[in-house]
This record gives sequence, structure tokens and C-alpha cells, in this order.
Amino acid sequence: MNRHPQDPPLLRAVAIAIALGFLGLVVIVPLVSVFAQAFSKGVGPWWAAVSHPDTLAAVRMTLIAALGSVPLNTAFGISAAWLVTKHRFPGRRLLLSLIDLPFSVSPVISGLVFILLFGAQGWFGPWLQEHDLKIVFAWPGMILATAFVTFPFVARELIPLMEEMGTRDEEAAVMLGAGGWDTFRRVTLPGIRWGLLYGVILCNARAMGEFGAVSVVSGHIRGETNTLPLHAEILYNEYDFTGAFAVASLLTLLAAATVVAKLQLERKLSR
Amino acid sequence: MKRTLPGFRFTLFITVGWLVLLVGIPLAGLFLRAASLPLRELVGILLDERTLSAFRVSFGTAAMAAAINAIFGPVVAWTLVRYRIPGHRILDALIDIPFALPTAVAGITLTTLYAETGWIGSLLAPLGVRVSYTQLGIVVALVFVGLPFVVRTVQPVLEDFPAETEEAAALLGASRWQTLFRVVLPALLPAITTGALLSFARCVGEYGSVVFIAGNMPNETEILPLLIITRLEQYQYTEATAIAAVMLLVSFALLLLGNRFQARLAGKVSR
Amino acid sequence: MSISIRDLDKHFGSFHALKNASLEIADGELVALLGPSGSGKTTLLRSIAGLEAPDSGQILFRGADATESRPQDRAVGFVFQHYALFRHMTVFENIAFGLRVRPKKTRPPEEEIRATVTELLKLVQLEWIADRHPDQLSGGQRQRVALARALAPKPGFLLLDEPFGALDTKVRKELRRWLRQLHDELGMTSLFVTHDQEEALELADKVVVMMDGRVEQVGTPEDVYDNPVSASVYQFLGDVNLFHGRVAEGSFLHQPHAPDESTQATAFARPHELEVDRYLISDQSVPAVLLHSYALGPKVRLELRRTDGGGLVEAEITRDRHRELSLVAGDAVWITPKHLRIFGPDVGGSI
Repeated sequence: MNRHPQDPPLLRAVAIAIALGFLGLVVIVPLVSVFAQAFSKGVGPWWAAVSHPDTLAAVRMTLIAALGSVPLNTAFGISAAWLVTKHRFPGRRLLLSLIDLPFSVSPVISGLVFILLFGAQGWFGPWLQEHDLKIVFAWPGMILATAFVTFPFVARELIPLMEEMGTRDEEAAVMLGAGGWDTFRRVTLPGIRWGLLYGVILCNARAMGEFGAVSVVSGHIRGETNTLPLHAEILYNEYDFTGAFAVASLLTLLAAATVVAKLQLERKLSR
Repeated sequence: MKRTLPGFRFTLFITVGWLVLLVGIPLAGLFLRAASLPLRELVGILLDERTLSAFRVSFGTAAMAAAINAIFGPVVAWTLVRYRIPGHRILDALIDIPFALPTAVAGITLTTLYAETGWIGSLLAPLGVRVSYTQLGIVVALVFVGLPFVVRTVQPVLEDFPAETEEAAALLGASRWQTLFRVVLPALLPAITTGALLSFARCVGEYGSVVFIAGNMPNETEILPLLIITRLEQYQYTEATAIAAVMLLVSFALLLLGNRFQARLAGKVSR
Repeated sequence: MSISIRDLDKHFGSFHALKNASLEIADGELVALLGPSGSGKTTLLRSIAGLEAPDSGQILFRGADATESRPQDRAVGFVFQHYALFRHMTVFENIAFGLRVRPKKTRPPEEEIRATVTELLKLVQLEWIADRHPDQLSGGQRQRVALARALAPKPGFLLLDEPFGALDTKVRKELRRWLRQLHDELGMTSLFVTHDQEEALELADKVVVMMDGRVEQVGTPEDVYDNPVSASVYQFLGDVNLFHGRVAEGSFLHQPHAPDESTQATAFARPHELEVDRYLISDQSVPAVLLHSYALGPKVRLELRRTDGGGLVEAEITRDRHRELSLVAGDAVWITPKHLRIFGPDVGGSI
């Protein structure tokens, strides 16, 4: 029941008009136009673009980047959340800020740092060349850059959740004789599973959609080191708009699925 | 100190280890590299005309976009929270789209929309307004990117805003407009500021959404991340590093500021 | 009559909150709206303030119909349970608010506003915190600021919604006393809602007992406590013991399992109205065994179980009497009610 005093109808109408107008212009119209552009020449060309070998290679690369980075960051996120919420120690606040760091770093810089480490002129550059190992301009570099960018996502999702849940349940388990793993598995995990799932989904969406960082690290070698976003860029720059938007539509569907997942999980989380 | 809950050493090792490996070392590499430059050279790079205008472009457009979001964001939040218009659940979910959508998709979509032949661009052309390849275009893209930050910071404050405060103002004789401007808006100001700050921090380093629509003309519409990439491509690692280091310092400062604001905000709301 | 409420009716969805409630409040009275939750007391208060619109009925302030007027125009001072202070303003600005939002024509000059606020701060004994913000104050201080703020625009009367509900016991007691003094000083008609009967009985000139959306009884505190008009009022206003039995020829017979329904009645007695002895005293005495006793200040509370199947009884006796009887748990005793009240359609009053 909305018990707040009523606003004058004029204010209501104007506020709704502004809000809808703004949202429409900024979010809805762009969303619609992705699909309009993708299907502007019909389903055939769309499908042709989507099933093109280069696109499929890009899909493979995107999956590799995601599979390489998401599980690691998930494990890290769980570990960090446990450390920070179930224990108190000097430097805890600092650690929390450090975890948030990649969140505030420009994606391009996230890629740059790895070039500086593993590029030809990088610290390890000569050593890598000697051993004929490629990190940048190859899939390991993509994974690293993606991992860097998506580093905080799972942790950021779990930490407030676990902070709120407190330590009482785990203390009870320990007093009943449970060990670390058991306590986590049987006591903590059931409570955080929806938050964890959401964190993973978000991490994955960001991993698959990352552009700036992988752009720097990839070298744009078509068919080999392109993820879906990079592939879309290439097609766009070649004026293959239908192709570019076809790829974009796939990514938009991924974003839409992420948002829908959030809606569902939010319902579960608020219970 | 004997800890009640297990797993401290283990999670400390994993957390700090992964943090150092993935984030610490790469960032340290960057800073060390920048620090190894003689001061004069560093200053020279930074005061270069092209670099300076890239700073101006990036920070200026980010500030403008944050300001726009600071004005429209609260209106959107207010409409969603106070007026349960039909479809408000979907609209609420849409606010997360800029957060979940890959930046490259946003980039090519907005460019196509605002090009002179695009849906919106064609409407603006007769008015003499050009969006693509101008700083206005950058602002448009950044408004999209920064939208969720202000709305999502203001929403919870609005949701928790006690009806009694507004009732008290009415009973003391204030008209609805007076209540809104003297009582509600000032109470929202901290949230709006925090959201605008977070939006600003995110937009300064934004790459994918901007690089398509900007036109990337040096000294005019070239953003800092792009300048860094350009320098990289020209193997001018030193220049790229210097610029990146300064950007990072600013980002960290903004991150700290934003966190402190958020903490204070959380403290206020919970009381 | 200062405030006149006539046949006020209000539904919240399917919940019938006020059922044709009527009430008259005289000038200068300090009136308590007392009742359990769901009794409609807060709805009634909020309706008077204009925060709820009744489905039907009338509200008159000094004879003028105020039923349709907005809260802004009713010139009512309102104090909320959780203070509702404006967090981003100082104490001074909070109190000045009602004066500063007046339209230019009726707005007093700034010096006058400052004088009024300072005066009010003195009245509530908080001059020294004028520049603080609400979150720097204690609960009791906040409530006093809320009161000052409500009084600043010189309202016609004062409404308070469980004003001390959010405070701890000691502060509550202090503020209660202080509110009474303030009322005596200002002489403003005031109406406050509470579910705490002790508070209502201690403070008010007149108590309005509400039950289930209706005004059950209106009277002085003594009136309402000693001569409750119904069983529910009686039970709400203090601890009570039930005695089931029959009424025959004007007297009450204890029959815990009375088979004859037609003359069945329930009698009530307060713990301090029961005499406890080791021996039968009259035909009203019932046998019981002592389960437990505990000291309650100057009195002793006894928890007893009737051995004639009548259930549990709570009695209150003086410490001296307790010493006299030297009771131990398990002792057999006789309980004799000194005073029994019976409520019902054909039997009223006490025996």
C-alpha cells in the first residue's frame, strides 16, 4: 500500500512523461534498433552471418575466454567472501578496496597491463619469445584480460549477502564438530546459492561482452583471436552492417537473458 | 589468536594470491614502468597538446553525462517507485541493460541510430544538430552507460523514505511542491551525488560504447582510452604507460571517494 | 465542543477499521485514545489530522466542518511515534519549518520566526542543541523537538500518535510526566493514542477506550477502571481472573462446569480483589492449591490452581499478609473474591 501523500496530477503526468521519454530514448530505442538492423534484410542474411565460420570461431573464442576466466573468478570470489565476512583481521578494509580495483580501471588499461608484461617489449617478452610461447595476441592473453576485468563480480555479489547472513550459523556448525569444507558446503552454500548464481551469470555476461580489454590484447587476428564483440567491430568497420548487427543481436540476447535471470533471482533472493 | 571459524589461512592464501597474481603484478608493472621515466619526459608526454585535449574530452563528456543522468535519473527512479505504472517491472529491468549489454553493441547501435541516416539522426539533421563524430555523440553514449548508476543508487533511498516525513511536512502546512523541494529532494541529494560520482568514474574510462560514435579525431573527439591504444599501435609504449598511469591514479581517487560516499549513504539509510 | 466526530466509518480494503465512531472532545482536555492494536485508534487520530479520508461521517473543529479539508489546512499539530524529523535540517530549521513554508502573505518576518523557535526550544528545555542534526540526538530529545516543531505554527490542537512508543521505559516515564506538565502550562486541547493503559490512566483527563473499531467507553481514568462498561474494557484495563458459574436470585454461584446454559455467567475479579485464607470464609470461597509466588514491589503475587476444576487464578496480597499466612508452594488455600463484576444483557454491575 502506497501511503505516501498524493502528488498533484500535473506533476505525476510530467514526471511519467519525462521518465518514459528518457528511458525510451536512451534504452528502448537502441534495443529495438539492434534487432531491426539485424533483421533488416530478412532472416536469411541474419542466419548466414550468424553461422559464418568466422562468427563461429568468434563464438568459440568468446566461450574460451569466459570458461577460462569465470570459474577462476568464481572460486576467488567465494574464497574472498568467506575470508572477508567470516573473519576479522587488520587490513580487511584495504583488501575490500583492492578487490574493487579492476572495477574502476578502464578496460583499455586492463589490456595494456598485460601487453606491458607479456608483449614483445614487455617484462617477460624476451623470455616468452625464447620459448616460443604466445600470451598476448593469443588465447591465454584474452583469458587473462577477461579475468582481470571480471575479477570483482562474484565477490561483489557474495560479500554483502554473506555479511548480512552473519557468522552465527557457521559457528553453530563448528561447535557441533563440522570441519571447514563441511560447514561451507552444508551451512553457507545453501544460503548463498541464488546470490552466487547471479554473480556467476553477471560475471559471465561481462566476460562474454568485454570489448576494450580484449581489443588491446587480441591483435585482432580474424578467425583466431576475435571474440564476438571484436568480430562485430570488424564487420561494422567493413560496412557489413547486417553482419555486425546479426552478431550484436546474439550478444543482446545474452544481455536480455542476464537481465531476466536477475529478475527471477531477485524474486528468490527477497524471499 | 585462535579463530572460531576455519579456513582463514586457506582463503587468505587464495584470495591474496589471486589478487596479487592477476591484479597486483600487472598494475605494479604499469606503475613501475611509468615511474622509471625521468620526470621531465613524463611531464612532457602529459602536457602534449593531444594528450591534454584527450583528458579534456574524456573528463568533460563524462561530467556532462553524469550531470544529465543526475537530473533525469531521479525522475526515472521516482516514477518507478512512487507511481506503479503498468509495466513498471519491465521498465525497472530495462535499467540494467546498459550494465549488462556489451559495450561494442551499444557502440555500433548508437552510432547507427544517430548517424544522419539513422532513426534519430535523421530527425535531428534538419535542425542542424549533428551527433555522430562530435562530442555530443560521446555524451549521448555515456548517458547510456551511466544511467543505471544514478537510478540504482537513488531507488533504494526512495523506497525506504518514510511516508511520515512527508505527512509531517504536510501537517505543518507545506504544499506538495514545498514538501518535494524542501524535504524530499534534499534527502535524496547524497544518493544523487554518489550515483553521479560512480557514473562519472565509469564513463571516464569507457571505450567500446564511445569509440564508434566519436569519430576519434585527435584534439577534438579523441578519448583517453583511444589515445592509449593509438600509442600502443605505434609501439609508443612509454607514452601509453604514462597516460594510463595518470588515468589510473584518477580512477583510484574516484573509487575511494565513491566508496566513502556509499558507506556514508548506507550509514544514513540504516538509521 | 472543540473536536466533534460523528459516525466516522472507514474501510481498508476488506478490513473495517472504524465502525461509526463518534466522540466529543472539549476545549483544553488531554484525552487518551486507548485500545489494543486493530482497535481503530490510530485510524481515528489520522482521520482527524486529515491523513486518512473516512468513507462516511463528519469531523468538526469548533463547529466548522473539516471533513473535506486537506491536512495542510487543518492547523493541527501532529507528533509521530518515530518523530519524522527532517534529517537534513538542524533542530532549529525543523522547528522553524511550519513557519517558513507559510505563503508570503501570512509568513512572519525572519526575526519573529527566530524568536518563536528560541522560545519553543526553551519550553522543551533544548536551547543548547539548536544547531544539531536529528541523528545526533537521543530518542527523548528527538521527540521533544518533534513536539516543538508541531507547536511552532500555533495549531488549534495537538495530536500525538503513540508518542513514547519508541523510547525505553525510563525515558518514557519522564516524558509522560513532562507532557502532562506542558499540557497544564499551555492548556491546548490534546489527543494522544496509546495501547499502554498505564500511560492513559496516568496522563489523561479523559480516556476513550476503543475496541474493534468502536468507541466502547468514554470517561475519567477512575471511571473507566472502576466502572468498565463491558467485559472487554475490563479485561483490557488490567489483570483479571475469570470465574465461571450461574446467577440465581441475584447472587452468583460458582459452578465451573455449569450444565445449564440459560443462566450461565462469567464473573471477573482483579488479583488484588481476592482474599486468600487457609480456611473457608463464605459460600463464595473456592478451594485452590498454591503453585508459585513472587514478590512484586510491595506486594506478592500468587499463582494458584483451583482444585474444583476452575482453572488458574492470580491473586495479589500484601507482603505482611503473605508473611502472616506463611505459604509454601503446594499448600491448600481458599480464595474468596471481595468484589465480583458480571457483564451481560440481563445482569449488570457487581455483586
